Amino acid sequence: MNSTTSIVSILLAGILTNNMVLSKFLGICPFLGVSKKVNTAFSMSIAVTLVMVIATAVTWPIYTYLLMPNFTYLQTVVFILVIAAIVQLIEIVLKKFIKPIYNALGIYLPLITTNCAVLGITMLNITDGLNFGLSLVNALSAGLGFMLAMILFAGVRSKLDTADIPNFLKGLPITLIAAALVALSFLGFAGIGG
Amino acid sequence: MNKFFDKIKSFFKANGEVITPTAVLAIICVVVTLALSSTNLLTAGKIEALAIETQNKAMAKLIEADEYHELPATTSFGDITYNAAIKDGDTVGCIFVTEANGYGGVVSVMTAVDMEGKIIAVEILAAADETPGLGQNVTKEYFYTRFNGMSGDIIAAKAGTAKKENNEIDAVTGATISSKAVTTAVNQALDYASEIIVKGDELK
Amino acid sequence: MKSKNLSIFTNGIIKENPVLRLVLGTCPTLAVTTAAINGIGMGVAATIVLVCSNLVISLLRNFIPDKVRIPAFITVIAGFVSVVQMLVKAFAPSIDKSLGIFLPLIVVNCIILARAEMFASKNPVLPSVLDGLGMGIGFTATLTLMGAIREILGTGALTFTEEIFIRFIPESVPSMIIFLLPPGGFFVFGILVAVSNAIAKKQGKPVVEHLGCANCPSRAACKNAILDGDTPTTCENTVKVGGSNE
Repeated sequence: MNSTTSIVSILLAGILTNNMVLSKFLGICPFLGVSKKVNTAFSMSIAVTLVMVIATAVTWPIYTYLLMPNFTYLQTVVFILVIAAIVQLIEIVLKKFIKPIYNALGIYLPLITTNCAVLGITMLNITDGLNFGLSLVNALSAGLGFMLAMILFAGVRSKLDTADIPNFLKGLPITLIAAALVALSFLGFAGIGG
Repeated sequence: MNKFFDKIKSFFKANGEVITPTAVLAIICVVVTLALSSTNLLTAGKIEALAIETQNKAMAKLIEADEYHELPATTSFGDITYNAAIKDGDTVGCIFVTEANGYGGVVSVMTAVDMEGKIIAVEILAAADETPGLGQNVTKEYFYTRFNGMSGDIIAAKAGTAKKENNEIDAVTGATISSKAVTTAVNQALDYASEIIVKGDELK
Repeated sequence: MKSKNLSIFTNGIIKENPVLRLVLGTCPTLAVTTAAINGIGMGVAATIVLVCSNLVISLLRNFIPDKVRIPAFITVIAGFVSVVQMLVKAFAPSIDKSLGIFLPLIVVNCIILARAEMFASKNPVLPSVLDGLGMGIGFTATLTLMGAIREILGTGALTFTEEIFIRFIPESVPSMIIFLLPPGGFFVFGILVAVSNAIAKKQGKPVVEHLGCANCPSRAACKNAILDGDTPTTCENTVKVGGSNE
């Protein structure tokens, strides 16, 4: 497979077929928690995408050049600490130098440290054996896939507000069932780019 | 003992707000690292032995032999390693591990080829990303035994439509893509074999 | 004292079931429950980590400065997760295979950080261990139940090993594979929450309407992120618990 087709297939997989949220079940908390409005969903996913790409850019070299081959068992500890540190650093840098972006995204950043989608994607890049460039593409596509799922779901949820829902399904149950229907629609993409 | 802890506590209190948290965090990190490296010492050998055992078991299931030699080879597809199965001093077959993209991810297949270039048997090593109940059925015996005895360029046809004269096999019902991935991986192994096995009983 | 400890232990199993009542740890709940056996594997692994981390964090609760509390907790938890991961790889490789990446991801399972933050960092060792054990059993039981429902509907049988299985739906009936796929996961989880809500309502307890914000370790940050009119009701009665960034 040459590099252009693999980039395209990674992008397609991350956004549609292997969608982070809807087929891998990573990042369910923000998916259900911060998806009530389209604009908050959008800001949250931008922040997640940003952290995913930067975290991959830092963890991949650390794993490949420092942990390989003798210290791979430290992967989990090192990755989660690096991600926690990166999130703090991004917050400080944005606060100091790029105020408008901080105002838009700052409140979402603390939520991302313990987001399994970020830790998940950095680990998947290693298990899938991707090189540095493709890992970055993979992180970007996972972030975009997260964004697509969030925005679509926020749209569905805004319709739920006015819907007549059976009493016993009100609240979280109907949210989960709506998520099931969104996930069902993504099943249709499976097999694309395989 | 409590006095000792009190001393440590008072030392940290005296040293300001920066040193204490940093020191505590550093100590925790060091302790965790030590704990992990000792666990690793205990388990690494076992994990490695397990991996080798799994591979040997899979190879023994495919082709009966006295020993398996891991050999490197250069093919037109790149450098590979494969296992030659030796029985009574003769090479009776070659074992290749190949991969292809399936429905949800990578499908990994082990293929044993005899010295005539025919498939002895096939084993699916990994198909965890395929759809449970559909694509994962490629790991069932009824499917992968369909490859036994075949050679050349195999084609996976829609379930129930395979024609023997076209070198086709039936795909798993509802899982044509996963079946095609397995077929692609098997064909790759056959391609390697055709380059490595020169004559009936000789390796390149 | 004894009865208090007992109630701490049973608390996590039913009254504050981490999955159905606190709604924590949704990612592994949805991801690994394609079979009952996976639910048991995940549950046991998480329980071991939960008990160990609660034990250690409770022991260290007076030594860890407030400022680095969260990173310190995460490091301890990550350490135990890695140990469990290596042990599973060495002694139960089939569980490692079926849980895949969700085994290391126990690190970011909110249940564990939440119990460290809400319980173990404020309570003595014995109650903390019991709390971890109770929560772990509650988590395992719910995952196993959900795994069993999805497996029975999706394949028609409960399979423990290749030889040992119990068939519930005859093989001649086509299995409903959709229950093994992601939509089935969301759907079954939704129905389970609805049932648990119905039971809670009958007993006069509040129903779960939103994610478990009140029990989430990053609640303080989340509250800011969810803008006005969007605040889950459970977030409003915030008990004072600092996020790492307050």
